[in-house]
Amino acid sequence: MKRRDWWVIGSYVVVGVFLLWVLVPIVTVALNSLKSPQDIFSSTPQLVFTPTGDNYGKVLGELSFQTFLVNSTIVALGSTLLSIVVGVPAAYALARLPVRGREWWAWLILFTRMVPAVALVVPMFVIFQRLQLLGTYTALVAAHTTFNLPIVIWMMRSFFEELPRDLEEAAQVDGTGRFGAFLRVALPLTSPGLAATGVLCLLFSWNEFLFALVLSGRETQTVPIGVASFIGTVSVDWGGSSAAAVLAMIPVFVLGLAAQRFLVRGLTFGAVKG
Amino acid sequence: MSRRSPRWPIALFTALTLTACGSTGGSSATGDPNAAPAQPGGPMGKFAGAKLVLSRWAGDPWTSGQKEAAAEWSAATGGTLDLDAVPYENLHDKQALTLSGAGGYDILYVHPSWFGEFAKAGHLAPIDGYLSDAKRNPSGFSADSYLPNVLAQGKYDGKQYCVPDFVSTTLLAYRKDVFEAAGIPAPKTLDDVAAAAAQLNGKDGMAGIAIPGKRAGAVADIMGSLLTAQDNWWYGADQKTTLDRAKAAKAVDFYVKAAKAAPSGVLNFHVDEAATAAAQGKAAMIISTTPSLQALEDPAKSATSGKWGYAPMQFTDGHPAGELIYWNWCVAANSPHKDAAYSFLQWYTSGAQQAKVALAAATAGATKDFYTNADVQAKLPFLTAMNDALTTSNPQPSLPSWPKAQDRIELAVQDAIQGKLTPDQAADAMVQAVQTTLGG
Amino acid sequence: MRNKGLGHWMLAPALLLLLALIIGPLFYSAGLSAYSWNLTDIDLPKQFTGLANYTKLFGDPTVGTAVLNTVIYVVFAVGIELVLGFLVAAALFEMTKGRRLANAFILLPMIIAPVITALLWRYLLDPQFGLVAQLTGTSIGWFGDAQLALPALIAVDVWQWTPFVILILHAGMLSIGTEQFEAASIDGAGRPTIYRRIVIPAIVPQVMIVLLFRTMDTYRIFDTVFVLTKGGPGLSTETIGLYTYRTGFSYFDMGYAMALSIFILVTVVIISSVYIRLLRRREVLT
Repeated sequence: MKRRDWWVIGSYVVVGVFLLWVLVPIVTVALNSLKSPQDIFSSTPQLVFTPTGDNYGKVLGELSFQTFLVNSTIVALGSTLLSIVVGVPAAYALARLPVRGREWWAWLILFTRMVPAVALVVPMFVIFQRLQLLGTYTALVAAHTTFNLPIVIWMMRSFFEELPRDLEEAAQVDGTGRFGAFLRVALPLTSPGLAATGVLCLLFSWNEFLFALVLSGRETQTVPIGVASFIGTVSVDWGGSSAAAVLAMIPVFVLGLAAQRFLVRGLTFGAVKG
Repeated sequence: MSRRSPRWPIALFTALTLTACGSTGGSSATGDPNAAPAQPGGPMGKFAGAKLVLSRWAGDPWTSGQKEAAAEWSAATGGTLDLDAVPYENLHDKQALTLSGAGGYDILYVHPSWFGEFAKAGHLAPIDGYLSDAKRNPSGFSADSYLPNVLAQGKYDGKQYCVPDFVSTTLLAYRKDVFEAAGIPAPKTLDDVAAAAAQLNGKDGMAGIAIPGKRAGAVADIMGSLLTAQDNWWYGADQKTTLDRAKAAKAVDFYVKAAKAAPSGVLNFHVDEAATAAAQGKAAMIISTTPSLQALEDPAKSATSGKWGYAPMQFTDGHPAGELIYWNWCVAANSPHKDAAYSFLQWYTSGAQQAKVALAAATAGATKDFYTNADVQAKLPFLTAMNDALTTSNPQPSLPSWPKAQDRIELAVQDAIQGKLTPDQAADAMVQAVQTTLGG
Repeated sequence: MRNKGLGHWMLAPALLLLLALIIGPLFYSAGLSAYSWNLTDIDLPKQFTGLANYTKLFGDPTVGTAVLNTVIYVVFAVGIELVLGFLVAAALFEMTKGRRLANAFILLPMIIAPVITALLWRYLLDPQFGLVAQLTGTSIGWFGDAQLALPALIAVDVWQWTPFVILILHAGMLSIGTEQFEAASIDGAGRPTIYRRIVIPAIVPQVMIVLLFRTMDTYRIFDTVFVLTKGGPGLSTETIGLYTYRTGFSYFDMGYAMALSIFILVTVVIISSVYIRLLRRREVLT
């Protein structure tokens, strides 16, 4: 065989081994979620077992995990919508319009990405407590907007910058004005990017833990808190928590694969086009 | 120098995000607080139209169980009872703000660590009058129905403010079958436990003893029991340190011996991991808190149910010790529905109702008849041992500054287990931690 | 021009929101870190202590341990992720078929919530019933051993975030013009030479980006540590983020917690500005 072929074969081996490393933990938990305690607590791996739906029944029944799913959906949608409504015009302004100190503002917004959640959660807890907003959706939506809004601005700015300028200029000649050009030309042309941005915001909010841990209340706890509470105070329920983990992962996988093309751009603030 | 904190960011915040916050309207109640129960064993009184709100921490199965009890109480008395459950970390502040502000709570689940603060501030209503009123209690029910040392925790300045429930403690459990097969008599003292743990460790893939080792509270609970068993305690009535260095060292020494015969990973074990390992046959003994021990007897979760014997922890035979872990139920001083609130508390903390909670959640009631209930005995075979342990027990420390001391105590135990500190050095570290926190 | 102010009007709401939600709370925090106060006396007059919380911070041995753990965590996690990520990205680059499919699976870990990642690994590494214990017949308490807990947490980070590195480096490799490779093969250069001369120099900007984002994110690590070890055994996995949380929400020592959070913020900003300066010099970020 040629040397070149060995390189290719080696590559498939490397990728294959890496895929195994990636998938084993996920598959293990997926299998656990279908096992009875006897099959989970054994000293050898049980690959052949009688699947049971008990864990899912319990998680969706007496433990009402769907409450967490609903709460996460409300918070994720709320924060994503707020970030998009406020962030997209700002992104357009930074990309296209004459703004005094444009670069300075852009860097200020990037700076907010660096603020660690733990530095914000301490004052936020105190502030929301004084406003009597602890435990409300409002508090969580506000907290999640702190990381989603900068993402929207930076990502959408990079999409707007990629648009050919003459298209909007043509629209302005038609007499729509700059805002009209934004609304009727720029926005429709970047709609795939906008959709991807929205999906990423949903993902980040769905996965967020620290703000939710500190700011949510009994009625507003999100999925990560629900999962963490299974590793809770009195008993570790392996089957139940595995089922909860699977239920929490399914929407994430669907969203993540839908936004696959833009994932890298979102995670790097538009710095890597991917 | 003392100043008020800057407030401008709040104003800014308010302007942007304030939403209206709801308040609970109290409606005037009609009914008869002295009415006999609708059914025998039901709650006392009629409270048509009364709307009560109960504040508690969030956590299942207790929250769900209590919702059911609230519905049952409503059906019997005509009042309604809503639960406001918030995460434990926020509970104190939520209660303090509500009680000192507009009000809205009628019944509160008050943790021992802030009971004194609330009683002193006048947030709670005394209930001596209710407890001694024959018309408000089923026949035979009075303050005497409760375990006296637990009820006494709800007293402040000579007045009774709260009634207790949710009692638990630390206990030893051992595999009767394993001890029999190895020809070892059932362990009586903690020295027996340490010896048996060393002897049984590693046999048939089984560790000698499972015990919590993670910094999560249970280590301090067990340390507390080990001190109580030697007639010592962290602090005295004046809240000054009384911790004896030698006794602390003896307690740590036991902990280290136990941890040496524990399953690997013991330093990351909270009560639930310890119980899981024991229930799945990975340990011949376990020392843990009682709610977690229920896992041993639940056939759905346990491969070893029915094989366990239980005993209180003791260094000398006949001198058992435990730690009293409990919660207080109190009535808010500004509640317009104190009669109705007491009706619910009396009914909910009574033996029969607590038996239901016990069957679901393995926590114990605080009335004497609870400990003789046959159904509970069957479900919680450790009840007798638990009662023994509680006869000599100190309540879980309840000072506002305690969490930090507790963390350092648990760190010292972990360091001793890892061999970084000798038991004597660990005891020194504990004395120092308690002194720094409390003074004295 | 009639739309002169439009840009400012479109930008203003976002800036105000960020001001209210981020800058405001940070100043509030900085202000209150000058007081000694407990969460329970929020409405009482607070004791003004000036910089006392900060002097305490620099003399606090737990902070020293936490910072050291955090630095070890950052260096090893990011280092391993970079090397492993480069290896797999290069392998993907060499593949002739199935790249997209492989990519779809590779990205899964990084979109899972860190809390769930922690759960997966907790069950994988459980000393009694975990897959690793079952397969090897050993009983190693990874998270319960002071020597193993930090390496195990690093392994979890590597599992979750190497995919991020792979995707970025792979994107960088794909953007290299084919003519460069053609020129190299005419010269008869082997694969190692091609990587050394063409690929690695070309992806330096992507490597810088990876370093920036991974350093910033590992430095503030919280979720997985909180779920898996809570900082134990002992202080072996205590990180600066976890210690801040504990100080505020377990000890209720809010003044000190706010000082700690400002400390984290300042150090993150310093580290990031160094990176960003480097990036700007190479014109990666515009």
